[in-house]
Amino acid sequence: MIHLMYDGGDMNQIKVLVIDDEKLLLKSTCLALQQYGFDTRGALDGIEGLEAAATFQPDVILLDIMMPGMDGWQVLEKLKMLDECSNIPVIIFSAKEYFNGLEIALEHGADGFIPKPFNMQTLIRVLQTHARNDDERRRDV
Amino acid sequence: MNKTGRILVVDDSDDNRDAVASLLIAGGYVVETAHSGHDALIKIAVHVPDVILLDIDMPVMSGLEVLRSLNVKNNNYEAILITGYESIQSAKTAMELGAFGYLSKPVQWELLKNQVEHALSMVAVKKERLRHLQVLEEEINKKNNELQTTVHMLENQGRRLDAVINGMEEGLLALDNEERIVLLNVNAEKIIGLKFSECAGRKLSSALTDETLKSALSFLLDHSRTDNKCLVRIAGPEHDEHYYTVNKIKLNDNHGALLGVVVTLLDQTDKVKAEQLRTSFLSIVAHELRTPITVIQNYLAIIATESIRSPVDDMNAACFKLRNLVDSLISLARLSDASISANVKKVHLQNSVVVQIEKSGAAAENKNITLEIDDNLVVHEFDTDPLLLEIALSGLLDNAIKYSMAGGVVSVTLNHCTVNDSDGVAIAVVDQGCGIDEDMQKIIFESFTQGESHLTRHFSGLGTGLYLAKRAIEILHGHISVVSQPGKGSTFTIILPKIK
Repeated sequence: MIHLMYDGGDMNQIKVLVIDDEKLLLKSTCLALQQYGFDTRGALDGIEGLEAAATFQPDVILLDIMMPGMDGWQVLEKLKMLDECSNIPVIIFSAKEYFNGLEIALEHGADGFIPKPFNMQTLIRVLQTHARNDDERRRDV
Repeated sequence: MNKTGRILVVDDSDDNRDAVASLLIAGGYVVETAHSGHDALIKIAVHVPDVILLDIDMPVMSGLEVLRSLNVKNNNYEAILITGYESIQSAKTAMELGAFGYLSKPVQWELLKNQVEHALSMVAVKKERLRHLQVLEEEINKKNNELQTTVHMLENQGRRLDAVINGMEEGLLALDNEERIVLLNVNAEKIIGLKFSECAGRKLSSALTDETLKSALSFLLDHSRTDNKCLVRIAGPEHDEHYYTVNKIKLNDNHGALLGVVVTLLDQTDKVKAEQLRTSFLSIVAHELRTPITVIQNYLAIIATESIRSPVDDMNAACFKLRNLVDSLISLARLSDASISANVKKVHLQNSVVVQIEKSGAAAENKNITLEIDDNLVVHEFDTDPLLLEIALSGLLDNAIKYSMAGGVVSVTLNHCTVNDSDGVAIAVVDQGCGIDEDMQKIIFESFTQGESHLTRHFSGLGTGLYLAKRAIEILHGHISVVSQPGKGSTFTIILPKIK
């Protein structure tokens, strides 16, 4: 599990969990998000991701689809089944050709979709929009 | 009138025999004699007479016995018996044995002559009848042979047709006008899983077991529909799947009434699977290419600070170009397959255009170009392939932006129109750019051309945008055209018919 902390410890920092099997992509995405004030954690596969979701309690999860072993859809299904993570919003991000990625993501129970490569500003906007707010957070503690 | 003929005189008494013989010779007949029954049979075997005069009273073999040995009815001679004494019994027997008549001794010439002449007439009639029969037999044999030849020919043709029907790659199914099965070739038997002997004469719907095939065929056999073809997926018993193109051909008689229907089933499984493999391969390629681009962009985002803004912007721009290149290559690979067909869905046209405008937003912003949409549609939902539409729209929009001057306007207009007597849609992309001269207009839709030669390229990119747009619209059975004036601008119009 890649554990990256932003020094500053902003109390209203949004916590993001990124699940992606591509090491470079995972590291660079987490670093970039950190740069923009997010508290990030990364996971290289579905199992790590589920563990991290339960313990790190992110406000939003960024989930890749094309992964070996458990693919993104299966991880999504499990996330929605676990009590500890079921109300964490999940944004699917994928480099796969989808003309209606959002539609497909929503059909599977996710909350949003971002294609790769993405515009950093767009990503930040989407994460901020969907992240759980304080009230939702407190309910799970 | 005297007839001539060959007479055999049979009598054991020399005197009698010679006497009768002389009379007959004098009468102009050809005469042979025999002195006994046996001798007579021999003489008859050697040279068939027309009339046989038989003395009844002969030792060893009597005249009646000779008569009995002869098969007068089936031969071309007649026998006249000569009796020594009046005997009704022998006369009766003689007649029963087929004798023509009898005379009693002493033989009177007039009576003899009479009988002989009548007998000869009878023999002539018999011979004529035989000739007729022989001619008939010859004719029948000839006709028989001709018939045999025709039958062989038909059998050969039948065998040839059989070979053709069973050697066909397609499964062949023939139905009469009540949808009863009248023919099933070997491949059709395999595909349907039934032998012809099991289902001949049964209605197709009751014979078929596979539900998908049943519904596909009942769809095609609905003659009120104009569809003659469809693709069917049949799941096999071992979880394997097969794809077939099902084709229906109606057979009508001279008055236009339905005689029957011929259905062909062509296995397309390999083709479909190859296409599926290609698509999944392309998806992987897209994914693999786009991932490192994302990594680079992420790091650029990280290191972006005021001091290195410009180089970072350049690197971002390079990534953007790379991404567009990847998109173009993937589209090119997809659309270069000549056999590709549209994947029709219900598309909200205005949304599609808006999404494209958003995508091209960054490029437009860079040149300070305004993107507008002029939507005149009443009904926005349209049956078409969204991916192909996207390719066409992005090709035209990117082109318009590329060739527009800074600060210009590019607008996309949507209108209803009629295409071949049915509903269609017209999408026009209007720019105020440098325009295209007439010669160029003819070749801009070909792949890899741009408005300028390779050496003086002002714009990067593959130059395949318009080619891809044209390919995509072709697959949608639509039409793309351009109206342009150098210096004033260009209007590219897509006409799309409703796809059934």
